Amino acid sequence: MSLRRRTVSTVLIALVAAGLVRGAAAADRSTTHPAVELLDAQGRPVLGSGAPVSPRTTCGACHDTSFVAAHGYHVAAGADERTAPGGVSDGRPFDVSPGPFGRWDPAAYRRLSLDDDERFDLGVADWVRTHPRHVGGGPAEQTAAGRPLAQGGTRTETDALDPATGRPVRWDWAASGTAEPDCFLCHLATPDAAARAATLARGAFRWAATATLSRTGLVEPDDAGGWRFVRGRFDPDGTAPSARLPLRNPTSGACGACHFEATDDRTALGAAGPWSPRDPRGAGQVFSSQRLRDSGFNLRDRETLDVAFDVHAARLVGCADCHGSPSDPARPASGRAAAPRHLVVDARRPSVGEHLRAPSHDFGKGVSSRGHAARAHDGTMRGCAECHDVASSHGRWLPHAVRHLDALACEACHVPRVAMPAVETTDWTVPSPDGRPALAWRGVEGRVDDPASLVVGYEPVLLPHAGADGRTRLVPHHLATTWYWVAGPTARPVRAFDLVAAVSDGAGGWHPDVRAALDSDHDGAVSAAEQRLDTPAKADALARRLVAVGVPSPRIEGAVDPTAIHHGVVDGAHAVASCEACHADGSRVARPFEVSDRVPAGAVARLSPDAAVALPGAMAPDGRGRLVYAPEPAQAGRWVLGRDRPVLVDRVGALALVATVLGVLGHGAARWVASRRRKEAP
Amino acid sequence: MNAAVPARVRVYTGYERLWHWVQAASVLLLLVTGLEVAGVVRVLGFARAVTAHEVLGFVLIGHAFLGLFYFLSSGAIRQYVAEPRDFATLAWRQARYYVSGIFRGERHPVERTPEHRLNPLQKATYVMILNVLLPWQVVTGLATWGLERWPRLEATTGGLALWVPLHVAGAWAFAAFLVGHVYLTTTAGPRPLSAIRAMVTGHEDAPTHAGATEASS
Repeated sequence: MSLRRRTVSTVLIALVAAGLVRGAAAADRSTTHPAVELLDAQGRPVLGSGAPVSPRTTCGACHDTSFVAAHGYHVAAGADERTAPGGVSDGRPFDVSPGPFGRWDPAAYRRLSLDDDERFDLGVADWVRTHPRHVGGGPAEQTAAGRPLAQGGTRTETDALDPATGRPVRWDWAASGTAEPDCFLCHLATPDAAARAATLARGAFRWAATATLSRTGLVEPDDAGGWRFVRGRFDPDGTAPSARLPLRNPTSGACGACHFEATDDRTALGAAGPWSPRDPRGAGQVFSSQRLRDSGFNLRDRETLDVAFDVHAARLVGCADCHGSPSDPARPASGRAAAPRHLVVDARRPSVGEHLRAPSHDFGKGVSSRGHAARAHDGTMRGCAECHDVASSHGRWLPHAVRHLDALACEACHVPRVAMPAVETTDWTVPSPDGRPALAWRGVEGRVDDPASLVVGYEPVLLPHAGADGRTRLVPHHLATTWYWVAGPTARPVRAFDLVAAVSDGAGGWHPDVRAALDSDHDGAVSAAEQRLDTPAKADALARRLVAVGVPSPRIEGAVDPTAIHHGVVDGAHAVASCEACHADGSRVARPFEVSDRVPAGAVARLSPDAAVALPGAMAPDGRGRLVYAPEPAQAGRWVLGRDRPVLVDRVGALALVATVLGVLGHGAARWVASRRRKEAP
Repeated sequence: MNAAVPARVRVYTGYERLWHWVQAASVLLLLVTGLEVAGVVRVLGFARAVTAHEVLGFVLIGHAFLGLFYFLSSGAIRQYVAEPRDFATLAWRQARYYVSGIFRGERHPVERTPEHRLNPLQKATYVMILNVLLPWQVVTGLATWGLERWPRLEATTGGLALWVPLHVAGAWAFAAFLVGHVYLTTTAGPRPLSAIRAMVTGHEDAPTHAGATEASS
């Protein structure tokens, strides 16, 4: 057996062993990966070439990185499902994919330009610069036609927005390079996502993966805006020592670098300051083993919150345990959806070696409540019932357990509240002069960025959502509203550049017309409370400004986007267990939910077309100018005993009963009177 | 004045009385627990009310079948069978009696005997109650109960949104019937409570042809 083979075998055995004892300590796993030699894109050691690290070649020495890139929806970001505009099922007319690359996200706002857009917004290069959560690869490397971006393509692929003129200019792909799939971002114990994001933002795409290594000490910034390698921190043979480059299975913290607030570190949440989630669209979800009372947040009744942010995290369940690689033999097939239809479980498993050589990165997923990228992988994640014997554990105490489990997702009771604040409203109708939308948060009393503000969390709204098994159950959701301008006959969103041009004076302040319209208290400034179009006059003023900067026929629309709440799970002792919580007036299943703290004058909000939920009931402004959704389960064919009543039947029935009682009383009284008269008669 | 003590006759067997009161209690408790299941009142708590409602429902159903067996095997079912001959005439007389005769102290148009305890209108009512309303409640109740256990039947049988309103409609009808039924018992015997007493003791005074209820009330 060659040395190489022996080394690989040793590594494989070590990894298997680590997998078997996984959960004990992530640090142990991090030491199982051997030291690696960092290579550049040409396969040369970077210590010699000084060129950026290429994960493709570095990791590709042992792993099939091309396979990984081709089998990873995090890489594709929907780009592999690109269509012509309007061709996305349930998408908007200007969406070109069901994923983050090509599907317009109202809250994130900026939109990948179409070739027929008169007013250019995001080119592919802009998209890469502004989407550091994208792991790289896919659309950050190739055109829709499958060619390298440097070889040219459509206008969207070749051009970028000139922030000075608002016009598209040629992007120099040869200079920027492309952003490779960054293995280090998830597999390194100490990735520097911020340095990577900054490197991407300045357009130095080929250096992005190198920037990710900055916390290892192996690299440091050079004076030219790039990075240089610190030779003294490498082993004498030129390899990066595993102590400095601890590569491992991704932990929950790796997922948490992009997805809401997942953590596996020991730093108390909130110790560094007020709530500032890495994913503001995470709806306040936290996946952490830490107890709420031990966090640094100013939680209401914190002393009583002797419960982990998520019970699964507290039980050492990690993200990958449910969202694992389908080829991982350490995590056997996770459900019916992962197997051919005629099989309960697909028993065929890759060997450890096969998996390590070509690990599928199409991680197990559920059914998203918005966006439909990678739909082929829906239902491949490990569901609750695959670990929990739900029927027996609930059948002992829960009446009609089958019915409840058929109607309700587990989270409906096991995520009774979301502990942390969430963005309720994103208002792009009046962005600040520096281009930031007005945000309104729920679940906090006061400013979210004020550590003294009381964090109260919120109760999610239960919405019907079809799961992987095809059954529609009530799942807790967050609903957030985005208000924005659209323009012209195509009703495409007004690009951020034009919004800023409309509201700013060009020197970082408010345009005088806008300030005059919004400054209700005439103090010369536009406060956060004034930064909203709550009267027709204000909306008209903004519309005039937009027309002045060249936007045709602007009008305001609103989009309500759902986010399913699957994390922040509590155990049975803290779950909803009172029948009256649902089976009574004020039922949880029909509790009104505020979806926006404001309604711009004349605007109407609708559920985003790609939302995979329904909103049975009514959504309308209340008396205080807020947009409130009032669920009505009966409209979705659901009847909640104790809460729902057949009004018409009750009215007719009550009428019949009252008529009977009155008839009886009348007849009885008449008998009594007649009897008295007969007795008194001579 | 005829002061003779009326003869006592046996009108209900022990089983008939047991059957009646068990059914009465079941229906009454079903109405109360049903109100709680509907969220109108709070007595037992929702979960207990649901359980009680279901248990009582099965008691009612089981007892109804036992009663059916008894009435068929004993021949007492004939009490409930309306005889086509003279039915319309007698029913009309009975209706006229309720509308006017009863106020004038007239005799019951149909004499009540142990063999013929029910007047034509009662027979018609019980035909409706026992053959329509009770089965209606049983079917809709079983459907509601079944959908709680086999929710996937919703696709083929309709959901609770269909069956619960139908069940509630039957409950209102039963409630109205109860009121009318209790009141009409006060018109059946020589005294207002004679019929109820008879359903308790099994005996009532033999008809004296001395007049209607109000004569002694």
